[in-house]
Amino acid sequence: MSTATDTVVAPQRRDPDDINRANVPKIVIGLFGLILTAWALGNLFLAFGYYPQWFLDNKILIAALALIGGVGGAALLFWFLNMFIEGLPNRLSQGIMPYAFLLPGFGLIALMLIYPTIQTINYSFANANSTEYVGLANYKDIFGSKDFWNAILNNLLWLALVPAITVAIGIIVAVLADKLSAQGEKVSKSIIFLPMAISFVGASAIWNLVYAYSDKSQSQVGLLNAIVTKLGMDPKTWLQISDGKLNSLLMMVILIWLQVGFSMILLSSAIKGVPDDTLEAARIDGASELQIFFKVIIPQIRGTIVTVFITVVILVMKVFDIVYVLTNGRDNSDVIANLFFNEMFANSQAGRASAIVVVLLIAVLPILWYQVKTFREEQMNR
Amino acid sequence: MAQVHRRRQLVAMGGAILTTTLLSACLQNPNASDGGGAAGLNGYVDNTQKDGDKVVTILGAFGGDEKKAFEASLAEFEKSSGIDIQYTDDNNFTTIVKTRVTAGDAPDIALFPQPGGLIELAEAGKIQPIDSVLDYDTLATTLVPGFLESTRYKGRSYGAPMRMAVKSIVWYPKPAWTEAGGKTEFTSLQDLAKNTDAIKGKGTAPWCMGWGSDAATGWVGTDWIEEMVLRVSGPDVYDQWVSHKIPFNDPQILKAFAEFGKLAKGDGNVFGGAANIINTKFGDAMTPAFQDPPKCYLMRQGNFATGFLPKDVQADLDNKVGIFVFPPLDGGYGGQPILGGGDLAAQFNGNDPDTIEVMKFLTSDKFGGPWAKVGGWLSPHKTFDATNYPNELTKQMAEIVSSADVFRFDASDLMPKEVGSGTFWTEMVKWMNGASDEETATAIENSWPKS
Amino acid sequence: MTPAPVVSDPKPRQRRLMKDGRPRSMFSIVSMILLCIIWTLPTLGLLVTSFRSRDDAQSNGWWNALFNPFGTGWTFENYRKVIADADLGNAFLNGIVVALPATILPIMFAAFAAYAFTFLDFPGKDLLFIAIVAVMVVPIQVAFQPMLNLLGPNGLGISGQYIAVWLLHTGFGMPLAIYTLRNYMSTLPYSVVESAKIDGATHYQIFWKLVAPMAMPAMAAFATLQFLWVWNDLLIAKLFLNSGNSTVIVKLQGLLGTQGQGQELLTAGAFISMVLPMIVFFALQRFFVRGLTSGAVKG
Repeated sequence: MSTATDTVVAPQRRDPDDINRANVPKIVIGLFGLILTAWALGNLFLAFGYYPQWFLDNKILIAALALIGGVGGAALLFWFLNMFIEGLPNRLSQGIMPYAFLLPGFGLIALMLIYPTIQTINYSFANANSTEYVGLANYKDIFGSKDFWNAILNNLLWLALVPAITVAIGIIVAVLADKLSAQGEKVSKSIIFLPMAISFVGASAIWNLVYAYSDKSQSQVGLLNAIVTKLGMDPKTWLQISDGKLNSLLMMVILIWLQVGFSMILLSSAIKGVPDDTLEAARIDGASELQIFFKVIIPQIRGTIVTVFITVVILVMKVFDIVYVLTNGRDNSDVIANLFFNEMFANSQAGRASAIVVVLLIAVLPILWYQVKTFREEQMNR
Repeated sequence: MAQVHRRRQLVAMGGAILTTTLLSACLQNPNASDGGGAAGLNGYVDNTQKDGDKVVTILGAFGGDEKKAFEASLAEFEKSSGIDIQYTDDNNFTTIVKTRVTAGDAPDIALFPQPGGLIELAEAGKIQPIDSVLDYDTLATTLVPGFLESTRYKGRSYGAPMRMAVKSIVWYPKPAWTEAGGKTEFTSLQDLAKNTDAIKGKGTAPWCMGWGSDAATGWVGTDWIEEMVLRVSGPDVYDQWVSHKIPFNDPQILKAFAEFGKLAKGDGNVFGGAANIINTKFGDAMTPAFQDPPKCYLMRQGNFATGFLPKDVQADLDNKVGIFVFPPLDGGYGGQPILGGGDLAAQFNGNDPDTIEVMKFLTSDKFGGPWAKVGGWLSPHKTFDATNYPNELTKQMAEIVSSADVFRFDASDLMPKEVGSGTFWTEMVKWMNGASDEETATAIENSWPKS
Repeated sequence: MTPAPVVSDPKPRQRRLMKDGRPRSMFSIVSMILLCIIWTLPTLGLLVTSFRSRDDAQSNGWWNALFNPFGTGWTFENYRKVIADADLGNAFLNGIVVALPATILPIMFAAFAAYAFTFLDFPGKDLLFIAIVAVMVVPIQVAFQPMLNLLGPNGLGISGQYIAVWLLHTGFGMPLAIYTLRNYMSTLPYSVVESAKIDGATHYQIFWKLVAPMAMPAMAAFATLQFLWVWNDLLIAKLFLNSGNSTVIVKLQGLLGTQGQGQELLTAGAFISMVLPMIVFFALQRFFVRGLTSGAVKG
């Protein structure tokens, strides 16, 4: 395929006989170890369920054994798998090795995500109970509904704003925190990160305290309306105002508030990876901090910026819980994923829900195309 | 090459043999079921229990204090029967129960807050019809009429109630309401309107209302329409409306909308108007009634509303809060209708004697003493011992139900989910925000699933 | 904007320098403080509310309690009730047992996969990578029914047990883990791997001795996130764990009651459940500190 393979197959210091012959003990031990570990682990976990009395019905003991068994067992499996493959003749081993590295991770993805995805695509052509094919009826239904196009429009707005703002604030926080003292950095990063640690129920309670509306004869419980009334205006029903998409914008604020922590941690770890000497060199050349930021740091963390951006884009495509709890799509604030959730669970319309997922899959195609393009470029430049 | 080929075959064969050994050498579930029985039975496997015989699992929607009270009401039964009842609560009940049952992971008994999900699973043949395990005729005589009908599918009932909710109750702050000149008994809605108009004339809105309920905002509005349909046109039209024998925008239903419009949209009739109604959580609706001076007085809400009243009011319910039944309409259906709901027990494990025993207890009038004493719980049985109820207020509610002419299950719980927990809610919110009766009813009618 | 101090200044004045010798930037300090205030304000509201009774919280805004701390009735009732009712000891234990493997396993598997995607060539690479990015957009709800069939009594019979939940979180977290780790690894110097290969190291050795340590910051970052998701997850824990094994978040949700009577308890619950994720964040934070990574690259 490319030149990289050639370098791999050309180790120079080993005896050619040694690398092309199968190492039988390694194969046997590897295979045997694999099977034994899998068998022991499987039975251990089944025993937790079936025979808790073997473990003295002790919750903490079971928990500790489960932890050791789960993590250690997985590591052991990998070790034996590697031994098995290393024992194979070199040509075979080199060919199989990448797949062995991929196997556990990709196997789970295939089982838990790809298989259900294919099933979903299939169901998108079937009726509400997935018992009978109905052709394109589901697609006709959703494309014919005004709500769907409204949701698409809202999603586009979300996509236009949320990822960019989240990444921008994330970079700003990461860079600024990098310039603080170690203590200051720790504290400020923890504060920005805090919203991520709050459960979703907690987060929705928090924003209720910001957007809440009470009649003007009452004391305002919502922060925003308290400010507005202090300024002498009437309280507003914030989440019902669809003029200028205000309600959607206010919900985006919540997602940004939640996600900057995510973007900050990934970007921060990238900024920490920017070698000190390149920064020093720029400073010695007399570059200002601003110039260093744009000319030295940003190009070096570009890859991570793209990663975070795309991750947030995907997250925004799937965002539903904020919308579900706060407006459930009322007042023109619906989004695609909320539409999916309602079709799937509130309405039991598996067919239409599946069709919406297919629309999401199609919408993600440009990102895939972009990823593959950069993927290839990176390999070319190596 | 041939040698390599053979070696590969050998490896493949060895692999296959080992995999088979591996699989067959695994532990088997000691409690595995012996397979399902006749249609309507579901062999339930409780993986976590060693002794499958004396354990019954129940899945329900309520947690917190209600769960504690529920478990307390089972304690004595558990002791005398030796059956261990394990209750799991899940406020995503409707979704979870369907997913679990479909995957073969059904509990022994599930307590459905709405009949819709129950009927869906009955259609799928997962639920045991109650007439085969319970004494149907006794139930039919002791229960408030309407419950067993709500779980009927193809002529058989699939669930029996273990808790009743009454919705047709109007709450008022006792001292303030009498002081403002409010009456506490009404012969008709017109009579009530005359009284509330007089109070409105003094400058305070008579009604408190709150429709907010996160994703479910609007359900309070649907209850109001249902109350009005029962009063304007009576139970027969109500049943036709629920089963879609008449369209949602039938003139008789529009009359109910108009009747409710007079009350809810009348200028100064409801505290705060549409904006406040939609943005106030249903549980907080009545709080302004206990301010000094009150901002409003009356709230029509189910019996569970006690749990939301301010703490000092809850501590002294009988003196601070009064209730009266939401009266019938003059010139409409003649009798006194009651709108309500309930938790319906359905049995997934048809051939387990322990489960049957638990079902019998749960759905009998013997169940619920300790729960009743805690408060917030009403027995669906007319024959339930009313001395268990902790205060006059609750006794009065039980009295309201047993003296009613007709009891009907919450319509939005019976309608298809797209409507009952979908467009009916959302369109009611639009209605409150200014959409006309016709627009609203027609939009809901158009969303009714075609079948 | 404050003019940024320049290091090339031969004798920087003492007060402009921090302990580690880097210059102190006023601009950064001021803007960070501002951002932090904006970010905490909403949470502060919830924190204050968690110490107020339902009636108080409903009658006036939380800032009133803060401005008039002696005139309001503070209460520990919410916390007391959560701790008494939620069986928190067991729930915390369950939460930890669920979250630790569900954090470590996906990272371990994903790191291997990311290594293969970054440093190895094999047929089908592009296609597999596309599949991984594509499934990130699929709502995990579509996988619940097939997974219950597989793990439930009709399949393996392990639903209800920890291992079922580990498998699910590992699977659902995997695409993002592979994606972020691969993108991070692709920024590592390829030459290091190349020269190790020429020295005769196997990929397994290169992964453990070179790449894994270099990718530590990304792995620590992802570990923090994955831990949070698992810890705060409600859906999977509810569907796939039996009640004896259920986690903190599930127990807290249960306090809500049918009509939301327990709403005020959730404010206290939100802070109780936040403790452990914050500890994890603090513990892993040292991996994001300057020096560690550049050192590894140079070595």
